[in-house]
Amino acid sequence: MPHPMTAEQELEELAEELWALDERGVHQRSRIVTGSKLGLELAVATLEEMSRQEMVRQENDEVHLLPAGKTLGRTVVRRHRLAEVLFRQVLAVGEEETEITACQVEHILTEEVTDRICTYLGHPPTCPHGKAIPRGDCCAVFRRDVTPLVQPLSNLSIGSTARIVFIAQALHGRMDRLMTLGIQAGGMIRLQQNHPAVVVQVGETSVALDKEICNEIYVLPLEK
Amino acid sequence: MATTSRAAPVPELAGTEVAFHDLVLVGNPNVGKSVLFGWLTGTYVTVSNYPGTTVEISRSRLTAGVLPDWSDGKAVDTPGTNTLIPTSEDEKVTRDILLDGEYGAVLQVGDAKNLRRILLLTVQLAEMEVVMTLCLNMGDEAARRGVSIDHQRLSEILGIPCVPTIAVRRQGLSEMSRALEDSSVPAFRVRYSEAIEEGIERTIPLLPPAPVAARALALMVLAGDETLSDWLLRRLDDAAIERLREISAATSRAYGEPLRAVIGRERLASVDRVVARVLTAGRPRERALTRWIDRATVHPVWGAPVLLAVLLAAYWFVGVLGAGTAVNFIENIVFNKFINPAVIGFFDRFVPIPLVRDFFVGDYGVVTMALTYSLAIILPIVATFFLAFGVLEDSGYLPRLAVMVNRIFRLMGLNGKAVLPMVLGLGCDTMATMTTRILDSRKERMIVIILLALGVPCSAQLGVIMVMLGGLPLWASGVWLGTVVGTLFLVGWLSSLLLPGENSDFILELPPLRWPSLGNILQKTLGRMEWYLKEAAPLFILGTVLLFVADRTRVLAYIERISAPVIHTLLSLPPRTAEVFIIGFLRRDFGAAGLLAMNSEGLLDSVQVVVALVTITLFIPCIANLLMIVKERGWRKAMLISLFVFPFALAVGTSLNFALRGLRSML
Repeated sequence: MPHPMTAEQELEELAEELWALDERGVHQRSRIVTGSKLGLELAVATLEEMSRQEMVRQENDEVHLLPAGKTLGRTVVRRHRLAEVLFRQVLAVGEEETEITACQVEHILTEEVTDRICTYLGHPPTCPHGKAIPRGDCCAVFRRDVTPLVQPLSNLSIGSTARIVFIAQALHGRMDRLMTLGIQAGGMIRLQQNHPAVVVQVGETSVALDKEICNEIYVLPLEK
Repeated sequence: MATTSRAAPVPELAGTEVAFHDLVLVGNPNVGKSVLFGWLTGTYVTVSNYPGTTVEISRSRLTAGVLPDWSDGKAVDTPGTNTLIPTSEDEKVTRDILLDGEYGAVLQVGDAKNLRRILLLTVQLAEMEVVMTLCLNMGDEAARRGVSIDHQRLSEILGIPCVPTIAVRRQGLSEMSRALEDSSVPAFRVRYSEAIEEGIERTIPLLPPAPVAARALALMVLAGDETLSDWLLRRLDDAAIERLREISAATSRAYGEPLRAVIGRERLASVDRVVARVLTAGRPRERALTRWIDRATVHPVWGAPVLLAVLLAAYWFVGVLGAGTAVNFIENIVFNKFINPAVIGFFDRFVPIPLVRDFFVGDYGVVTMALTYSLAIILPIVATFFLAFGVLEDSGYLPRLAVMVNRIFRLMGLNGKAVLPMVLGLGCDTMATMTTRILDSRKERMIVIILLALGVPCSAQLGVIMVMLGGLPLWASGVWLGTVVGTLFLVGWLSSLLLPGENSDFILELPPLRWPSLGNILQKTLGRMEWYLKEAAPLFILGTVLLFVADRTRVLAYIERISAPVIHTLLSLPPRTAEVFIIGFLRRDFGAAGLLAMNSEGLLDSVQVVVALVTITLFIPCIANLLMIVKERGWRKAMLISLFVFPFALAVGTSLNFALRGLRSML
């Protein structure tokens, strides 16, 4: 860690790691503390602190998150992954730089700011690594009071180019088909027309699509 | 490169003496595999500018001298594929060939404009550890788009020979065949994120032995490739399959999207790093006019006039030139003035036995009926139709037509993609039924097969119909067209409601518009005519012989007598029409031709002609088409379709008959 952390941030960090491991079904205490970014010693101490605060339950060399810990972990993971989308996919920051910055930002974003970023990004379902971004209250109502920077392809004006940020997953067969033609997150896409069917260009490939599919492709418009 | 840091795998095939038997051509759709196949084997397979033309595997002996070391080998042409995790039936065909492992090497053919898509396939072949060479084809089009690829560097990165070619102009092909001798297993591997690599490691020990590398199979299993499950079920017990499912599910828990999406994304990232190292994008040298025409064909405003112009041109060529001028010349002059009188004269003088004479030159004579119909009426129409179709196909207009009609086809539970089999059906329904394989869902294939069997007239039938309608007032053509098209929509709409299954998305790649090569079109048309004649002419003769026998044994008269009430009361047609419907089953066009004869003898009035034409258009498919339906969908479905079509055609004909008669008495 480039900056020393406060005790509160250490708690957040471990809660985040626990939540992510829980997502993969990992509960072994030894794996948790040895893999922690906090370092073995600090991780063990922080885990004890979390037990005291009734955020985790430890038994038989297994650690399970309790509701309070789960909420904290979920919130931090959400901030981290949203920050990744913002840096990596919207601002095109490099992979390493994104990781370092996201690790710091995740401890300072307030709920209000997090929700606004989420709305600004068009409530992305996954981070650049394909992991799920925990939903916030703003996602449930699909808030639109901040003009989303990331919009469905169908909102794009004809002739403009955009970077694909994510594809909402409706049917996985559909995503496969799009993917094999080069329409996938991170790629550039140009909208040629909307009628009688949508025609887009991806690299040197022209593809015709149904309008409904375009509502599921979220893009970041670039200047003409 | 992080991805090459893994030790190069020890290829199972590389060290040992490999008997190179087959060379398998693999590649994205529409990149020129069939052209290369033709060069390698000297055999022609259909080449077109429409993704997915090759729906069947062609296997042919390599031309001597093309690949000296493989002199006794064969080349295999496969349907185009974008991924080895199949999303359609034709993609599965290709994947299964690769999975069989019974081949010497793979020649991957790619469109140099689209390096990213080429490499997405290459990395999957690398995972299978196949011995391969990469051919970067269509170098001319890439150059026009300003794309240049450092193929030597690419070759170093991938660890296989990479050769630039322009197959249609035979450029780079001898270099390619030399490079094939150096084919090897790619050293390049995609390195996936931790959880997936872990999943691969856990999956591999459970897999059955296979001719391809376990890593590739493990990735397919993790990705939840359903098309693989049969293959696995045959080789593993239930417990092992259950374990595999658990591993896949556990691995996917680490991600918020399906594993196949994550795997695809990581492959793309890996491929993009390679592309960045070998590709230079320069200024495109495309002409503005080409670009404009390209846009106009699918434009919301210009698209419709372009479509209309294309239809008119096609109608003029097939309907006026083919069905009119050419048919008149061959039928009236060549056959009726020269051939038939000569043959009849020959029989009159030298074969005095009436039965034999009539068999060849009587009312139902092999020469006067079968040959005259098939060569004079059908052949010119088929020839002109397939020429016109070839131009549409090779120019790349057909996928654009699909864009234009997508919305309309949606009403029938189909999408624009179905336009290819439907238009081809206007040429030959049997051929079109086979082409339904390019459609994405079982339901859509079924709907199109029903519509083809029911109401899409083939070119020969259409030609005869046009000739007959040409002699009637304009309203007759309107009624015929309206009824047939209306029926198609109605049945399409109903089938889309009744048949189980899903409608698929309209996602269609638009290939660049190209100038069709006359040579290719002629070759393709000749091939299709040969196919058509081989199938049609024997059935024509068989049909004529059956009619001749039925006529002589008075069976025909009997059938006419028992079916007369039905035909007369329901359709108000003369009893002789029964024979038209009977031979219509042998060949639809043949039936229509029979109507033509009755019409020219003045036996039918306009309402009768229209009713008869509508009924025979909708009537059961010809024998060949029926057999193709059996081949594609099985006996049960073929019988169900016939059982539906037969009474349905009669019902539509009856309703039309009563409606028109009612209308006439009112006026």
